[in-house]
Amino acid sequence: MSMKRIILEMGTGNDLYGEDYTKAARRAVHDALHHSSLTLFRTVGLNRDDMQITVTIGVQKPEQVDAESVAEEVPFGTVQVNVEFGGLNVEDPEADTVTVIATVGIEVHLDLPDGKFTLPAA
Amino acid sequence: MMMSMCNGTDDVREAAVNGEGICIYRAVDGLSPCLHDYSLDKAMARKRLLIEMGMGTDLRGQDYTKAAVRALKDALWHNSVSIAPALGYPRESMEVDVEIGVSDPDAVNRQTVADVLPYGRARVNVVKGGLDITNRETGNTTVMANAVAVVYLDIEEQDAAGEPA
Repeated sequence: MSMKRIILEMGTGNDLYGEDYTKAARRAVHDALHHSSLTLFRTVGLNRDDMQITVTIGVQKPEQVDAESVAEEVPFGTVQVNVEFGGLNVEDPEADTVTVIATVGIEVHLDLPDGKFTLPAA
Repeated sequence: MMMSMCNGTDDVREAAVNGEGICIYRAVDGLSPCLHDYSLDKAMARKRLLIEMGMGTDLRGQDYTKAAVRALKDALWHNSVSIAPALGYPRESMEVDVEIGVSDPDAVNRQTVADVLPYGRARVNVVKGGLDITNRETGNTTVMANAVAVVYLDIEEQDAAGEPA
């Protein structure tokens, strides 16, 4: 096995009024995933479900994130969700509201045997 | 090997259709020169590995180049791509086709857009797209640009015996 990271996808998501950390986290994952498309699975003939995906969420109240719900945002592969302290909360004391911002890093690892792919002969 | 200098969107498309060289607007030190001799055949051997997408604006200046640059940065800096090293290639071997959509394609300086890319070879194509929104009260126009960066590598797959498949 030669697991290599092929991409780190980054995103943010928020929940403006509900103070729902899971919702913000899911939106962050959606944002991160939908800024790119890994077309190599089709063009190089690899299986998308062979991806090992590590999702790391940063929010101010990590214990309020439903990790299983966040994992459902990822359509392919084997997903592991970690939640840490991070992100940012914006408090409005006058209106008594808290806006939650979640940030996410999604690391995609794939088993790529050494020497399987080479540059074509010049 | 034929090479051609392209000056506009249609030139690039025509060059590709005719099997002539495709413009490479920027190259990294030690690699191919700016005018790379990519024939259509060679271009078709490339593997399309990744697409990155982004949006950028210029709120008050109606500067389409600025919006395009921001769109491309939005596309690129949402991802940290390590496909090339993971497959055993230098990052510089990546070839990146940048497609920009704005409502006034001629106003975009493609060299400035190409210079956004930190490494690899860039080809920039600008088409009509994006979106302009004009404030009815002030007359100010805000411009939005869409950007797509398509990342290619020229690779061959080896079979178990180490021979090209």
